[in-house]
Amino acid sequence: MNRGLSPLLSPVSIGPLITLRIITGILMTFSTLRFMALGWIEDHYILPVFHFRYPGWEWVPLLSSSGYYLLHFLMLIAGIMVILGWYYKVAIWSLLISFTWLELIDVTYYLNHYYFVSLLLLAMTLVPAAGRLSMDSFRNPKLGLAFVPAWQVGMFRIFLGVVYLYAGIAKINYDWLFEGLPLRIWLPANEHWPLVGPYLKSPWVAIAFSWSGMLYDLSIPFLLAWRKTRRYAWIGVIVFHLLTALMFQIGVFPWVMIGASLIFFSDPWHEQLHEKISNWLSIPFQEKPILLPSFQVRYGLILAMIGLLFHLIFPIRYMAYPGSLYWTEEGYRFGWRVMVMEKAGTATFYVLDRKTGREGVVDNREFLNDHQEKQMAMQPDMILQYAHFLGDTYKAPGMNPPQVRAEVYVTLNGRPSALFVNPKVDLMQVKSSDPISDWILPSPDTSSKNIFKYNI
Amino acid sequence: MNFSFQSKIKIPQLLGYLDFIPSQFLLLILGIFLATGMGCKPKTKENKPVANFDRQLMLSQLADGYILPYSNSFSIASDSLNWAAQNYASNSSFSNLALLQNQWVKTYDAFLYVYSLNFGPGEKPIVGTLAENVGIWPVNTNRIEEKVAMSLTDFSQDFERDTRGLLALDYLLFDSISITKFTIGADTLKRKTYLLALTNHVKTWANDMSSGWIGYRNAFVNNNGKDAGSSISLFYNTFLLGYEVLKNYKIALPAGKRVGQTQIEPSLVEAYYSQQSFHFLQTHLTAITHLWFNISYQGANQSGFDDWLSSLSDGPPLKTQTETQFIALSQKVQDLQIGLPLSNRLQQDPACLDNLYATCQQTTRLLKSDLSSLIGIAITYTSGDGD
Repeated sequence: MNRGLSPLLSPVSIGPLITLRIITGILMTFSTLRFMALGWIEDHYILPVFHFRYPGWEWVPLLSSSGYYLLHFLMLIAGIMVILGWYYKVAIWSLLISFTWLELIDVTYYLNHYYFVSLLLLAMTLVPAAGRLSMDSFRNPKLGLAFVPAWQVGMFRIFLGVVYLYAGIAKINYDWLFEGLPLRIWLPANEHWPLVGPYLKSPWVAIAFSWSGMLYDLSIPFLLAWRKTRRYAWIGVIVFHLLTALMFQIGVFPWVMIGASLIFFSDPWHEQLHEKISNWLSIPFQEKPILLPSFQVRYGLILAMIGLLFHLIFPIRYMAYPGSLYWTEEGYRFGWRVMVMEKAGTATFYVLDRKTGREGVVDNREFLNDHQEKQMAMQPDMILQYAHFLGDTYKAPGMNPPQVRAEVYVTLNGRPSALFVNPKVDLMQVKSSDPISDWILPSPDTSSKNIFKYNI
Repeated sequence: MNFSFQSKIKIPQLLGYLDFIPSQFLLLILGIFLATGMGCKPKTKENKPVANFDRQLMLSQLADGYILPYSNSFSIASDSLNWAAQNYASNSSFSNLALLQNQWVKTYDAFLYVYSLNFGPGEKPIVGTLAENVGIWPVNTNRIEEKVAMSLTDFSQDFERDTRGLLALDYLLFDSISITKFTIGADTLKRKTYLLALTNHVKTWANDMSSGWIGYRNAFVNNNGKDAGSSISLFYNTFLLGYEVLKNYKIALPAGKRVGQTQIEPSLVEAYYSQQSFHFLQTHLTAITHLWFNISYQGANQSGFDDWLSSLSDGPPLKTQTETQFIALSQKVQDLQIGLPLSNRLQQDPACLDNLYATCQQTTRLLKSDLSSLIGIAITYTSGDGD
């Protein structure tokens, strides 16, 4: 065995992976049920006449309405199978594929924590997380495992740690730290709370929250990793995420983070938890201290290394683009920039009929739902996709595509809105690969307030 | 659950490498951040002490001062419209027609004040919203004539919204050929039956709206958050829709500004047959303005979006800007209102609405993204989370 890799390959308790599997399964099942109960399958996937696709992922097939329901039912069943550890490999792959497929249908519904879940599930395909407290290991005791190589647990800790660190780094910007923006806009929503409510209006409270959030994100991975601070850190995790759950409409995100943070807990903690569960359910705790075959372990380790490298580099790809990150959003997605700006736009599109020379205005509500229109109106790649969709829709048979112009105003962190897209540019002539400065106007606020290049 | 962090089970602690990060290092990092936190005292001098804005007060004043009285006035007007229709059906004299026409204008005016309230009692499952059911145009006159001839008066049986509502009455009561058919021809009785079915349908909506709001009032006032589904968010979204209908349909459509249109289409003005388009444009704009300022039925200036903006440190410029735009819009509609009805005016001067439309377009973003961003309303309803 390679000496350099030996700490990564040395056996550790499978405990943290088992807890992670059960919690992930529960959260996926719960959030799928919630999604269905809220009628979002209909709203998000079936009713819209147009879907915004992810560049490079246009090949992911759109489905019929029964297809979307079927995929959600598959996700539900896979989620329950993951909880039970029943045909784990099949279940985790089904969950990964069905969930990610649904996410790749429409950019509108992108959320950092959806991306987080996809990556988490991908990582979980690499580990034997059904080695204990699972139907698989009851059916076939040979599948029972007590130990896994250290990288299989460590990778989840690093994965989660990096997410927090990037979320923290994104908060180091002038608006967040010194203006208390956008929290200054968002916090007063809860001013009717007893006791603390009235204080939420104060800009100082917003600034205090901003700093706490930044410090929390940057320190929590270390405080969770370190044995001596872990228990206090976890209380911090609970308080922080419960507070955000109460304050903002962010769905299952807080619960995902609270659950995932348990991966940092010590092996004995997980062992004890599992013993309690097995006593409570009166099921045997029967795995043997068998290790996985080493080829499987090394193969997985290489994939994990590649994955973590990607995880480290992908969020900072914005550095390769010119312009202000928050304005152009080039390299913004998939970067763990969680709730760091309040951005909104108003977009009006004009289609020029080449035959009559008459320019008509588009009613976006004819093609987009409110959610889609809101997201589109502030994100360049979506504006361009929509413009091309309009051009194709209004193309007369046998004619060149019409000219499509957009008048878009965008407001960032409550500042007066400014012209976003050059209204003279025919967007049908713009390709998604063209430099964004060809058609997106520069950010109106280029003052020296910016701490880092990527700021507002 | 009682978590014990000290283990009694002896399992080799093999993945300790994350625990080996020296504690001094961690404390140093924390120290640095705390020091920078204390040291860099934010210089946010422009943050004036913010006044408190009471959202619940705005909601209760909106409900008690605007929505309830205007719903009631719409309800009363539609009752009178129904009486006037019955009166005309029993005695189809010119004077009774004039009374009915007059009452129709009053009812439509009253309707426009509640046009933008398409939530709560203003929305029925499957059937749809108040605006969709009572305010759709252009109406399908051929289909209306067919339905008259076939006595199809049960409006719950189809979704042909362009055969009913106040603008179907606009055709029935103001089109000169339509009027003669009330007294001459084979189908006079059927026509009167259809007329009464229409006024009754409007009356039902108006009565439901009015009585529904009496019951809904407390739920509306107490749902005082700002999330999707809160009263503010519901109200704001439908307010916005009301404004966009004004811009996209009442102005852009007859002006031929929508995609696919090749020229002006004067017959697509609102209330084409009664030729009251300018008057109703003014009423609609007044209603939108009053909703933004929260001006009550009695004319009192209640707590509205203007006051909300005043209470925010960054709000006053947007407040002033929006007020200026509202004044400009009102002035432009008034200027147009002199002389010919809109459909004729458009034929004479196809560009007559351009200026008004441009002003509307300038106003949109102030009402839409700028306002919602500053006061932090979730613009999307029902769908999705954020992160």
